[in-house]
Amino acid sequence: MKIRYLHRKAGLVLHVLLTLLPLAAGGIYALLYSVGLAGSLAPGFTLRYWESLISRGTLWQTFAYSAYIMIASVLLSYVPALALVISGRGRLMQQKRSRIFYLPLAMPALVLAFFAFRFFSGGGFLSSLAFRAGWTGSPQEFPEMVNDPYGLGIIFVHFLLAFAFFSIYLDRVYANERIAEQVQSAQLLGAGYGQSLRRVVLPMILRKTWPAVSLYGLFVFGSYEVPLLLGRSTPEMLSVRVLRMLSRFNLEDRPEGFAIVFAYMMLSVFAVMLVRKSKGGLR
Amino acid sequence: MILRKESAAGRMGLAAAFFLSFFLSSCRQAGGEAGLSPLQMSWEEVLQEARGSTVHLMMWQGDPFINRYMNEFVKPKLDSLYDIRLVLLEGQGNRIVSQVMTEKEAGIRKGGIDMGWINGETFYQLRQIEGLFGPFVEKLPNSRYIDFDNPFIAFDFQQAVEGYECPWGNVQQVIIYDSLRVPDPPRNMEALAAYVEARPGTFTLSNDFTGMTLLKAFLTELAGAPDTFYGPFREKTYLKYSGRLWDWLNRYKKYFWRRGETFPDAVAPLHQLFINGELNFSMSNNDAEVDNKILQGLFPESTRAYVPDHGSIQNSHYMGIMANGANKAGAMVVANFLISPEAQWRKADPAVWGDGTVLARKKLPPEWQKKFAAIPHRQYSPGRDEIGKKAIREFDAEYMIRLYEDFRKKVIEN
Repeated sequence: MKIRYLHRKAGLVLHVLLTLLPLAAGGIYALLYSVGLAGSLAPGFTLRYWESLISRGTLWQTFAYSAYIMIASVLLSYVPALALVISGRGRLMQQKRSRIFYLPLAMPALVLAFFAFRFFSGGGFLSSLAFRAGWTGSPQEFPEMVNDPYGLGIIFVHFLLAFAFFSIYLDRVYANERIAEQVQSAQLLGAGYGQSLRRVVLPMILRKTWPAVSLYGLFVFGSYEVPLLLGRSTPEMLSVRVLRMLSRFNLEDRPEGFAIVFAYMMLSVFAVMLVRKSKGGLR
Repeated sequence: MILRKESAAGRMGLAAAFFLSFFLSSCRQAGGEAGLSPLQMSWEEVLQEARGSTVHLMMWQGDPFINRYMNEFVKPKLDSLYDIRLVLLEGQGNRIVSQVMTEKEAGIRKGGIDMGWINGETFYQLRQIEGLFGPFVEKLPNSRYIDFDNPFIAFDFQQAVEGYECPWGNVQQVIIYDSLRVPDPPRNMEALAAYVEARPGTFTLSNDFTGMTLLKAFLTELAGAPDTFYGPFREKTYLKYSGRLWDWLNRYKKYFWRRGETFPDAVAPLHQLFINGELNFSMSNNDAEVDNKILQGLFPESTRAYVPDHGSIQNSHYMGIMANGANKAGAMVVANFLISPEAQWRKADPAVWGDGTVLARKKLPPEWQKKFAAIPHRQYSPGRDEIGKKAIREFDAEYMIRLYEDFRKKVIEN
């Protein structure tokens, strides 16, 4: 008993040392950098980097655009995955063809992004087909599906990744929570299909999967490779903007980059705390 | 298990602060005491010190020709001649600056990079943070062959090199086009405007060093003379001509690729768009790029390069030794080999790399002069002498900073 307790304690200490402390140290470093107290060219305490950042409308545009991509990607993949799992009654992954769901998860995001670029760009596969069919006269006439104003290419790649993940995950939740049996009981007590869906299936699944979905949303919010390849110069997603600011020619831009890093970290911490506070949080 | 929040958060903050200070202070101690600087040694002592050591060189490794030159020629030569093991690390400008800055901020005296392939942009940044070792170039025996009378080599972004970086190669920006799709490429901004109006969506520039370099050439055309931008940065001059440049770009960007609402963030995607037929033009800061890419089978054989009438920026690339590099003596020996007549001659061959030499031919021994004169000419790009007549020197670094800023604010976000 005592050994098990010590193991658990050691695991927690290791977790704190290897993951939380470096993260916290990174956050403190970013904060110090953003107020002029760290860095080779640190001028001493100043709030001018924060003021300059906040006064620029593009920062809010970046956050809003990242939030839009996050919400669109998660919704467009979660809802169909949920529908698929409900229609399969939690037995989706028991079928042989279920292996197909694991395929996108084995692909690095960058590979899928490159695939999307080759498939949907003006000089890509679909455009060539359209040209051969006589629907377009040149690559420039093909509709913009990557590097487009609405982030369609980015959302598509996140959909490929997230739809597979959510399908597998929701199917597992459906089976583990014995939702099929709960539905059966409800229907034995006189509930119709619609009623059991509204009162039993959806509340149970949503409550159980909300934390994971939120964390996945945070992952999409901070994604880098996919928007780098398929996004536009403006608006940019958060990570793309941060990396650009940290690697810009003008070293004076670095503190503003660190200010965004710190703001993003705080946002993530806030989101995680919110998820933990909610019912069915991370336990 | 649910963590208890308030107390845990407080402890976490304290622990993080402790961890950070411990991390920084331990890093400070990691460097150890520095020995005698190679600058105080004779060349024989430098060679002795370097023998049997490993040198870490960070460089861009995106071109198979350059990689082959480094891996199949430079590395074996360094090994056999000097018993030096050269390790190539992937990374360019901003990665080098970031790593050196981070190591410097953490007080690391023996960093992970001994030397780096740098250009004016990186030189400017590394000088700002005192990240470069030197002056070391005069110490290199082969530096006597370098063409320091050439302002394109002796000055980097209008800054005197002053021995803090060793010239390695010299290039000039060219515009790339497919001669089948564009029989008569535009020679100036007016012709370019007419071209994009007639064929919308077929031209753009990258939002990076190469694209900004093209904007400098545009500024030169608008000013009428390249020397308008020579010397230190002048705010009035910049505002006058950049204002006209932004007006021009905003007037015609609707005819650019994606209506000028977005720009490729690097040359690689620009090449990609050119190869797949979306764009009729690409560009490169390496005037040998077209020959290289055709030989690699990436560009069609109908691809050609040219320099418009307004000229283009010619600049040099260099080898810098990091101030916190662990093996400065080894790095100096590597730099000396890279500027040897043999290494420069091989590199200048279009079938190897096609990089312009930084050596003055007249300073070379006669047999090497003959060898350089016999280097095969390029097949698909104009010769260096020809484009050299339209060469523009790099502007002061401040122009580049402002062009980056304003291109984003006044064109991309406009």
